[in-house]
Amino acid sequence: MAEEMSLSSLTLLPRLMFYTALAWFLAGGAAGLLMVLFHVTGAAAVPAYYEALTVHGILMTFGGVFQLMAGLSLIRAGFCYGKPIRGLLFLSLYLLLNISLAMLLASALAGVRVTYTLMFPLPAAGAFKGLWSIDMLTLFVWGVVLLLIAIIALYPASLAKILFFGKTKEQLVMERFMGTLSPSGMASMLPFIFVVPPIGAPILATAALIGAALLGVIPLTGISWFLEAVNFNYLFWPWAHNLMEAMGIMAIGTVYWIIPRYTADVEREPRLYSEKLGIFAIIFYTVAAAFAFPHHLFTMSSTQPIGLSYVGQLASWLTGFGAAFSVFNILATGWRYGLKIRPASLAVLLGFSLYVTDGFLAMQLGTIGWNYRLHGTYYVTAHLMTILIAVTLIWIGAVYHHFQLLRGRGDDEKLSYLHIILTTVAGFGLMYVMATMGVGGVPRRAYPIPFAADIQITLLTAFGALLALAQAIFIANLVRGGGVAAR
Amino acid sequence: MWGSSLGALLILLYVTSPFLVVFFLLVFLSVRRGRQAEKLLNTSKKRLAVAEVLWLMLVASIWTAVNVSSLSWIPAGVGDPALAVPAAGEQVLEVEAFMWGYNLSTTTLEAGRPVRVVAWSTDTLHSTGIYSPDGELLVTLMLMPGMREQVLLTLEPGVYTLRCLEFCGDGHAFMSAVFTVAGAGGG
Repeated sequence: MAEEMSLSSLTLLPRLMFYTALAWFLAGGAAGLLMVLFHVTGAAAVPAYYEALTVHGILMTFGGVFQLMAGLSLIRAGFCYGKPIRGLLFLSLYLLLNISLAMLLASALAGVRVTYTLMFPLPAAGAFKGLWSIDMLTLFVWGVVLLLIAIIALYPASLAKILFFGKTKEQLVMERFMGTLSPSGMASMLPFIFVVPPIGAPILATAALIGAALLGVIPLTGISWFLEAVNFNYLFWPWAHNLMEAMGIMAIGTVYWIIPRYTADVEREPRLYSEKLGIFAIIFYTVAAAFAFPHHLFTMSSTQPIGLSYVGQLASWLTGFGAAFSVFNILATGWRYGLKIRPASLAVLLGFSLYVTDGFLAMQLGTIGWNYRLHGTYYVTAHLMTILIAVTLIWIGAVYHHFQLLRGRGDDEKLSYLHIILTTVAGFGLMYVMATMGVGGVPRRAYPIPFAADIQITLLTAFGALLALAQAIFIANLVRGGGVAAR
Repeated sequence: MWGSSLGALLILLYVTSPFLVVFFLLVFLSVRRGRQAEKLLNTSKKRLAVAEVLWLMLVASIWTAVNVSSLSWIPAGVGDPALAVPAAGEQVLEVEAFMWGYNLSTTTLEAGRPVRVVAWSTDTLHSTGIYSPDGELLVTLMLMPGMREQVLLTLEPGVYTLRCLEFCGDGHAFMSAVFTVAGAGGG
């Protein structure tokens, strides 16, 4: 049994998730580059653009960002608690996640149009209007069902298994932490275990019922309540919103985990300025986020209770207050113990700066008065793109932290720094350019763009190309590496 | 001013620019302090605690100021209980959204009289963003099938454009319509 405890076999599944995430990132990124190219040249037929948009949204969000987070968080949890990451549960998570993505990709390539937020009832409306086939709709819906099972059930169960069940194997404890859930990096996993499953269960049941109706197992008329757009969306939005928040909280937890490990005061055990403040921030953030979802429905003021909108605004701003605790904690950690800049810490710090900056933009969109003038414009795209780039950059910091483990050798630090800095510049550049476009009222997800200044399109293209170049450098670094890591 | 979309961008810049300057300055200083062990040993816990309180007070002040101010930024005629009662002399613009276009009950309205925009969707999620003659996005209504959204506007003369701002399929970018608000005497 002892021989089976080799590090590589225990980390096989998370590493597989990491590489698969990279593959989806490449495919989704290529689709994103095509979209930019289409905007610049205006050469594409409209369906080709929207096919690229659908593929880009699905693959980057779930294949790339979610899977990267899942793989890295399993490694972190496994090493903190000394538990092996293997077995049927973890394998099912990996397989179901990627099978579902393949199904969604196939349906997108066959004409189904959605965004990562589904836009229900668009998938059904398109099929009933003959824009795509019922067969493809069925494939799409079952892809969604499997994806939801992976996200809502298998991933939280995997985390819970590591955190709460089984005995610690001392030889697997790579980064020992004090206490049960300390540091707060571990507490950041709790929303995925305790919040995402109960909020997600109704939408999973709804998707399964729709899937069963499409297969003829139950009559469509029997589920008409779920097919009402308003009913479906009231089930969907709390889940979708809290999923994104849980991913954001996981990113904050990664910051709490990485930064203390790159402090200059090597005499002490890695620690935050305040563990209590960290855990408080995560609880505060989680509770506030649970009530923030109504900001997605602000612009339905005459049919939705206005009180719900005020709750949405208040809760959205409270999540920002939660972030303020984290900002202080991280900066105070650096001040108190000194900081060492390495690729891991730099990526996390820059990703965190982007995350917080975007957080303010998100709070603006969570403000009723502004939302009426910005909803559906590039201002929202600025938020979405930035938050995904920010959390990915933070997790890339975790990749650099574990580079030796993932690749069997160290990174080329020059390439790593170049990758991180270019990604950050591109991230901030895209955010501010898109925000400017949003202020001009440019509709998002529109091809061709009805109106926008040439300079905006040029800058969008330039920063998009810079982001792509940065990731090409990252891939080169992964392939070539730089010998034995110096930590 | 601050409640406009341009105001949003300005406040974004006013808040995030100093934040980023201070953030990176503190990171730079923390790296420098890391090379001077004696400074780390002499770090005052009390000063950090004071800084924590000051920082949270600053955030809470900005938080409160923006939220209180924002109550006056909600466009007039939005979410107003008085909306249920017809305004004196109001005219109605009915907007039916579908994949991929709008049917308008009329394309000409009179300036000087309130305009009640009533909009709905017949198939999937759409929206209607109402753009002023100079291209400013005045207000957005999300149109969920089965719901009828309303807003009461007072419009200056000119040509207004409606655009869908929720992705609704391949014709999304082409989903627009115009209506004219004519000045007194039809000018």
